[in-house]
Amino acid sequence: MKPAAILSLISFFSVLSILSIGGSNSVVPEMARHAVEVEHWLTAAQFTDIFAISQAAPGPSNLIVALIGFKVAGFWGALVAQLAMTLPAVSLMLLVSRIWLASSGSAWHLALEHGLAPIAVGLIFASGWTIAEGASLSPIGYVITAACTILFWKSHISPIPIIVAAGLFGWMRWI
Amino acid sequence: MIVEEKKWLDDEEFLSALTLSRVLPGATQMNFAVYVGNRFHGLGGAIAAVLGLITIPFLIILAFAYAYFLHSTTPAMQDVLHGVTTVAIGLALSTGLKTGEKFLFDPTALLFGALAFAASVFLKLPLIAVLAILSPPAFLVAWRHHQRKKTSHEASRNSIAD
Repeated sequence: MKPAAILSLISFFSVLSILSIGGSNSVVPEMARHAVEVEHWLTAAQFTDIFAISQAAPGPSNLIVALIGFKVAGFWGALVAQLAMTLPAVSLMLLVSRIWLASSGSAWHLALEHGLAPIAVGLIFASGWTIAEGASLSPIGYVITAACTILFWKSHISPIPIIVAAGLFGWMRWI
Repeated sequence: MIVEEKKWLDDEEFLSALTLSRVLPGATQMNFAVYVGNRFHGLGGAIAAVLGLITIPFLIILAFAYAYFLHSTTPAMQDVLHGVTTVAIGLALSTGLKTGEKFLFDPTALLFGALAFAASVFLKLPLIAVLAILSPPAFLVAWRHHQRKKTSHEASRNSIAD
């Protein structure tokens, strides 16, 4: 273990945790700047690689910090970085959830819930659209996306086997 | 899955919990897990939900870290990712359709949904800006709607709105 490195992982990622409004992808530029240019924890090329790895791996998007932590201080670095990135944001969410639930049934809670629902739906479509724009899908890719949209909309099938199958097809370069 | 299979939350609570999870800092899935865990089993539930969500992915990412940094073999991640993305987009769009189809004949809801979509996709506004601009009017419209409903309900001696 490297105590100094561990401490700098904790101090950097616990602050980043609270700043990561809109998910950890919003602080990726700051993460890159600090890890590559300030601390020289890894090279720019390595950062690009671990970003792709963390996007492809299952689980929450902030797992990229475990990869950075691993490079800095092995297993303990990964664990400490992940905890530092997770705990502050999760504690805040817990606090706000409790306040939100305590007010449930009140007029302003209902009005906020009803008012926000269509906005949330619009944003869900927007995120699907944005990912599609950046993904440079092939014609087959668009067909699969359209088929999956209708399938998941109209049925109650679990998406997990289909995600695994699509991953395999991608690996074979069929998509 | 949480709404359909387990019936833990209804559509509206799902959407409000999702919005909270997206607005607050941190990974959306993790925040959502905290909400659901806390909603049903308090602090212990929240901790269990976060650990349940992150433990296996953390171990998988450790394996990738080991493979990448110690054996410098870059996995064929991009190709796998490409395949998975096609399904992930379908999943996002179907969630929008499922939770949004009931707004199809509600002009106010359609308007706010379309504005949120346009602000995000065409104006490229960050999430926090979209919500800061659209939530206050949406809240006011819903508030007035409820007040009117309440008054008419009270007139018919039924005070539970909606």
